Amino acid sequence: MSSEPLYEEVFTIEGKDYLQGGAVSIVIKKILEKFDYSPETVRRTAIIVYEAEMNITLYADRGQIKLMAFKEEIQLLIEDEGQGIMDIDMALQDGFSTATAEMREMGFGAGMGLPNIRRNSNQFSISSTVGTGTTLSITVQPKVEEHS
Amino acid sequence: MLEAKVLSRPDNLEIEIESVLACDLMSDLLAHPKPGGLLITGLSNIQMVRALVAADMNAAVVVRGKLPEDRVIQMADETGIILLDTRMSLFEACGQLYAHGLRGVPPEEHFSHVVRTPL
Repeated sequence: MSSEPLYEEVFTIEGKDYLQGGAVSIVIKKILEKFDYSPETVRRTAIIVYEAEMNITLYADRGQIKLMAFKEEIQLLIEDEGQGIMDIDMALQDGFSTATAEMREMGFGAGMGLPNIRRNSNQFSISSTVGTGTTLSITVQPKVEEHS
Repeated sequence: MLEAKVLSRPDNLEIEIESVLACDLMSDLLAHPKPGGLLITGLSNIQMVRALVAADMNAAVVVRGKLPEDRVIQMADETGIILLDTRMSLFEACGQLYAHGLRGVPPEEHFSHVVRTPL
């Protein structure tokens, strides 16, 4: 990125703070709506943040979401401290979940969290160390309009 | 048609619903966002309302007579989400809306914008 970010902020999430689940995604959505991104770009980002935020809330001890909004794209760096992911390939599969019964009662555990994040990203990378934590690095780029 | 009670944002009731999604799992909702759409669900928690906001949806009907807590209704009020509550089952509520012409979005229309990147 050659340009300076239009906006930059780090959001902290505490693990097991279920009542706040999804709150950061709404804050980030409001922030992004002030810029010139399309509603679709904002929605994709909000969905990514919601899922990432819930992953931290459900599975980690704590985590941070760093938002860097550039003119051409939105970057998210999501890092958590906690149990990490044992098998990333499995975790990326639709329907695979390690959710507990308590989490499922709240409507979580569809096993679509990481797949939903990846589907909405233009660039997506994930790394994890069991017993330490997980990092996601994501870029959301606006759809290029086709000109006839 | 749903014998539903409006719990939040009665000032917003004139909006047009473009399509409907029915599900009970948060990530299923986020996998198939319906901008301007209505959710029919058995979920009645605050995280569901926030998921609707992230997905640009307008309204939700909570089925099976589950009454959301006050703080959930308050969140819906604050975020502009119309929350309704019905004693009907998920199946009946879907059937009623379908019979009155409301439809979902075919799966192939989801994610037409998304570029899939290999890891």
